[in-house]
Amino acid sequence: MQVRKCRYCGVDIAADYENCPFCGERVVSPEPVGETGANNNETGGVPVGEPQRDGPDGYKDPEQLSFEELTDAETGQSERREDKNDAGNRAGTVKDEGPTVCHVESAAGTILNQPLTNGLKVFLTALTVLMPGVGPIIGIICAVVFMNSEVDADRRSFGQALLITALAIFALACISCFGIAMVLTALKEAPGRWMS
Amino acid sequence: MDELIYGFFNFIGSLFCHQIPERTLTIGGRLLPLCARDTGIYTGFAICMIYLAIKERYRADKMPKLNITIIICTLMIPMMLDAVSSFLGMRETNNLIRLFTGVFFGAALPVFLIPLGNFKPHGVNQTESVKGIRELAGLYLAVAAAAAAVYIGLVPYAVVSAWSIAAVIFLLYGICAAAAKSMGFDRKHAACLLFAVACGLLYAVRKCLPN
Repeated sequence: MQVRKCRYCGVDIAADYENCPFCGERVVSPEPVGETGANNNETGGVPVGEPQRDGPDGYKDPEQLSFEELTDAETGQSERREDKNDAGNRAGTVKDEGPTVCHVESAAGTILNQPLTNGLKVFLTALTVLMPGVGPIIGIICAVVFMNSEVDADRRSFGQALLITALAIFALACISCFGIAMVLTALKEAPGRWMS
Repeated sequence: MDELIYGFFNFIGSLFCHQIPERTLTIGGRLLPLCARDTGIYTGFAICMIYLAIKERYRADKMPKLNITIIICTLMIPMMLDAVSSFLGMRETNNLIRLFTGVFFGAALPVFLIPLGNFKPHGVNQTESVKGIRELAGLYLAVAAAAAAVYIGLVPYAVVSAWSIAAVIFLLYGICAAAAKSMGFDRKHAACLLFAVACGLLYAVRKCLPN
């Protein structure tokens, strides 16, 4: 068996280990996420979405374990639980080829999963209503983004309300323009009749 | 009979449009019931509805993707710029520009309105109103071709007037139905009532203004 030194703790470990079983640090350099599938296929490993987390001796990288798995490890259970609500965070962990990528993806997932604040809702509504022309356009685009969100129903319902508001503002603007044009035309063509 | 239909279209059009002759297209020697910009908006609306019906998207419940939304919204901007700049006297416009900018504006509305009507905030929405750039290009080509046909005069007066007025009535009824739904009333009856009230109000406003 080929042996190499861990660059973090200096202990001799097997060459095919991805993580040092003593200090837990990653001993292979991170690879781009897009190449994961190719590498896995070449090595006959697991397909994309289910990377090989266990070392040859069954070791698991603690950084890559979810909360449930850590709890299971502590209680001696090895069964993996499937939690659909945690799919975004799990995806960030599963795609991971290095700690940095893992943290960035987890942070992005956390931000996207956060519910909309009332301040943001008020700001977007005010922008849609108060800024003529461009406001409803921005409102429509934001509303479509929120309505297509698969994270929570709050975003979708706010998106629906924002879209109704934006379209109503468009309709009101058109009606106002129509009314102004009618009055101006009437004033221009028959001022005496209009005044009387 | 022709005069009766002509009078009906003109009466409905007068409730929604200023009908200034210089800004109105003529087909077969007759002024259309709506001005060029309104004819464009409602032509775009009607053609888009027909297109989506052919594609069986009248039950669409999902908004289009972000890139498609941005393209559609960008195509809405020229009409606003044209209207505002000509109203402020910054530049001159003509009926061709009014018609085409209006058509692109009107075609955008059903793409958002149909999914909005069928949208389920707490359920699963799967069917997009426009599924890709190719479909969007097809839609806008159809709409532009219809506008060109109207401008040249290839489409008979009755057809243009009928689809424009039908689009106006459909849009007003849709707004009334949405308002009734949001107020928690029985959708059909309350929508009909609101529609009648809206038509009455429009007629009253029209009668108050001198011709």
